Order: sequence, then C-alpha cells, then structure tokens
Amino acid sequence: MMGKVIAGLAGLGLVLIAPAWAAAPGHKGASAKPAPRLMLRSVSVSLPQDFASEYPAGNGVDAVNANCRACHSTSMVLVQPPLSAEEWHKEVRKMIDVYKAPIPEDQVEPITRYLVGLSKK
Amino acid sequence: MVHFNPALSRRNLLAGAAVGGLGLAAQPLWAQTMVDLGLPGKPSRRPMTKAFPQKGEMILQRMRPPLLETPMAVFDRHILTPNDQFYVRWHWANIPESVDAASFRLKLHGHVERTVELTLNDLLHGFERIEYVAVNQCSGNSRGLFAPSVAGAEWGHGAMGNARWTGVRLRDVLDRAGVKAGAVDVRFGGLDEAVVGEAPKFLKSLAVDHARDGEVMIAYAMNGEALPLLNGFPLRLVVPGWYSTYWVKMLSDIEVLSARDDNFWMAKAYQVPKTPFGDVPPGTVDFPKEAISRMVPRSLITNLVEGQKVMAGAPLMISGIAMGGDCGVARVEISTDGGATWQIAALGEDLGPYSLRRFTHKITMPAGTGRIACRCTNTKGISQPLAMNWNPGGYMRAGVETVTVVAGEKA
Repeated sequence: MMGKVIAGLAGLGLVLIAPAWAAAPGHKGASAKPAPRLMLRSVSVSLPQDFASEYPAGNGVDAVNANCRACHSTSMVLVQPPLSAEEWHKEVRKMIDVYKAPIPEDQVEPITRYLVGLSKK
Repeated sequence: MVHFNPALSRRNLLAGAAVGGLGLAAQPLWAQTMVDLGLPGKPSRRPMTKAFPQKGEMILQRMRPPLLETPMAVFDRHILTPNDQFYVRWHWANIPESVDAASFRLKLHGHVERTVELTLNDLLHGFERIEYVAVNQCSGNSRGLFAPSVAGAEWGHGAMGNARWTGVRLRDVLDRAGVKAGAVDVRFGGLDEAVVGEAPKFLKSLAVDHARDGEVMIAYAMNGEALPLLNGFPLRLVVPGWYSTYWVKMLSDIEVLSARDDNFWMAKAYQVPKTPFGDVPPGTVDFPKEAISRMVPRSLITNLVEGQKVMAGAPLMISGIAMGGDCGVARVEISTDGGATWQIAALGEDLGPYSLRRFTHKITMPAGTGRIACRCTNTKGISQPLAMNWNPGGYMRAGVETVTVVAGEKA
C-alpha cells in the first residue's frame, strides 16, 4: 500500500490536462492521433454506503439481516421477480458455494423461508 | 497503492456492525424521486439518486456494489453519453475509493518474454494514441423486461452508454512484454476485490488474437476526460463490439495464459445459448452454452414513453438510438402496424461502426391506441428479430421493441 493519496483532492483531479484533442466526427474505427501533453491526476472519492438499511419484516428476517447485507444492498434482493422455493434455495446456495458467503448451514433454511415469503407478497 | 473504505472491512461486515448509512438509504422513502421502469411481473419502481461521486442523476438499482442506470432521456438528448450519467456496474463491493496517479502500475506478466510494469505516464506518452467511439453495454441490459422474468440485476434499457474512448492499443502494450509463442488467452483484472477473500476475483479474458487485433484499447479517457472512478479510473479495457463484461475497469493486471482461461467468470458465469441472439424457448435450461461475446443489433425509441398521449392525425416525430452490435448500422425501420409494413428512418451522423447512431422518422398516428416498433439491421445484414429473444441468464435482449402511444385530440 502506498502513502495517503493527496488529501483534499476529492472531487478534483479528474481533468486530463491537455489541449482537448479535436473530436473527429465521421472517422471510422481506430485512428492514430498526435500526442498532446497529458497527465492524469490522483482521484479520491467517497462512495455512499447503506449497511444500516434492513430488510422489511417477515418470517426469517433476522437471518437475512444477519447474513445478506455484507456483500450487497438489500435492494438486490427486494427488486427480484417472484421466485419459487427451489429457485431461492439455489440462489442462497450460489451465494455460499460460489461466492463464498460465510453463512452457517443452519441459516440456509430461515433465509430461504424469508425469501419465499417475499415472493408471496 | 489504493485505499479501501474501512467500513468495508470484512470484520465490520461480518460483525453486522451498523455503519452509518450515507446518501439515499438514509433518506426516508417519501423524500426520494421514484421512476417506474415498466418492468413486467416484478418490482418496477426505482429511486433516482445523486449520491454517487462524479455522477449526476442516475437510477439507483443497487447502492452496493453500485448498479446505476442511465435514464432514457439522456439517450434522447445525447448521442455521446455524458460521463456523469454513464451507467455503472460492479460485481464486488471492495472498490478502491482512491487511486494515486503516480504510484499506480499496470502489470503485464505470465506467458511473456519479460514482466512489465507501466506507469500512467508510460501509457500516456510511451505509446501511439488511438481514439474511437464505442457503445459499452451490459450483457444483462434490459433484463428486467424479460418475460418470463429471470433473476439478476433487473435493469431497464439504460445499462449502456456511448463514449469516445482514448487510449493505447492493447497490442502495443502486450508487445512491450513480448507475448510468447503458445499464448492462448489474455486475462484482465482490476483493483476491485471481493468482500470475502475466498470469492472468485472478477477476471475476464480474450483470445490472444482478439487481444492483439489492434482495436482493443486500454483507455485512459472517455469523452475527453479522465474516467470517473466508478467507470474504471484510471484505466479501462475497451473491447469494441463486445459486451461490457470484458471491459475490465480499474485495469491493473494483464496476464498472458498458455491455456484456455477456465476461471469462474469465463467458464461458468456469463454463459449464453449457442444460438443466434442467444435465444432459446422460455423455460429452457439445458442447451449448448458459450461465453457471451459479440453484441447484436438493437434500437430504441427515446423521445416517447410508454403510454404517451400524442395528437391523432398530426405529424409525430420519432427519435431514437440504434447500434449495429459488432459493426455499423445499415438501416432502421419503423412499423406502426405490428410489423406488417416498415418505413425507413433517417440516420444521424455516423460516428463509426461501434457507436450509437441517431434515427428519426415522421409518422402520423390515427386516433386510438397504436404501437410503434423500430428495427435495426446492421452492416452484416443481421436484423433484430420480431419475436423477443429469451434465455435463462437474461442476457442479450435485442428483439424489436415497441412503444404504445394513445392518439387523441390532445397531445
């Protein structure tokens, strides 16, 4: 890791220092350009977070709140189309088996139960 | 080299620590402007957000990892999508919030003569510069419109953008390292990391001949400015004509492989049916698959919204955008009779084969409810199918789209 990125540059540092190279409307495919003097500035931003946001009440809500907020927003789940119990179970298994979510096995059933309830609403 | 948000540390996450929510999530729902994406059979409304750095007003699909959709009105106003409204899509939430331009390195290694580390200055000044316009479209753009529905990021049509990309040829950069005989794939990785360390890092590959075709670009600018961080600052792979999954953001690692890349993101994820338009009958699960690759033609009307009231019997100007996919747009046609007859639309300025292209056409709608369809045919002679394509991954939606209008005495 390097030292702290130039402090206070948030929101700045985006400008490519250069005479804006001419737009070339109508040209096709790749084309070579002479190189004006360019440089890129460091960038530092702050991304919005939503760790505090919880799932709506439902049977099994504690399980999803405890296990399904670390890697993604609740909205990822809440905008899904209605899925069957089998389809939701597959999604939960994918999170554990493929994406390595550290979810205890005894949580799979209550998580799936909550998701199935969501689809019935 | 990069700084992660400390709130994202695994310990905090797994402890369920309530890290103060910032931005939209902290707002009560009533304070948010909502947009209805018209998605059938599933939640369709999304909040609008201005909470993301270097971004203007976007449709919030997901805060973390960020999924931000470009509103359709932006495509009506601009053929080159402004950087601050260019859609955003990340797989993993561990995204560096700072990138130091001086210490950043792009590393080339693997099946090469010599490992090379390039600075941004090396890339800006040590290689011939190239520039072209190209559409960047998510493989799952418009997935939310799929009927029957499929799980995934439930996008409307705005998971795409069109930009003028500036950078260097991937081929020239690979030549600096010297690709050895027997190279098969070239694999790309960025600075982003999974929240859970054991999860598969997001890596994508191109066949070595594709990587060396002289068109694939390592871009350091879009629309004449540095890339917004959420679009991949400082470097992004540009693979014109191919879906965005290959356009690796925050590109920092290029590995030449002497065997086919079998990593999860190539071999298991982003698989489509081996059929034209990746189309299979709805409900099909078993079919020969392949990694998604070239884009296919699409067209969308941008100046009318679903259900819009228009004046009956009066001239109505239609405006929209079209793409050829992996080549240029040959023509766009309009039908107001369910595809029985088609009228040729006028095409706007040609910004190159990989760019979006404007189309316009004047029609007159009789009184009542009418449906306006648009169909793009590309320069390879491939036309959008009238019947909507479907596959269980929700990829490559590209059938003819229609807009319903209600023609009456008042617009």
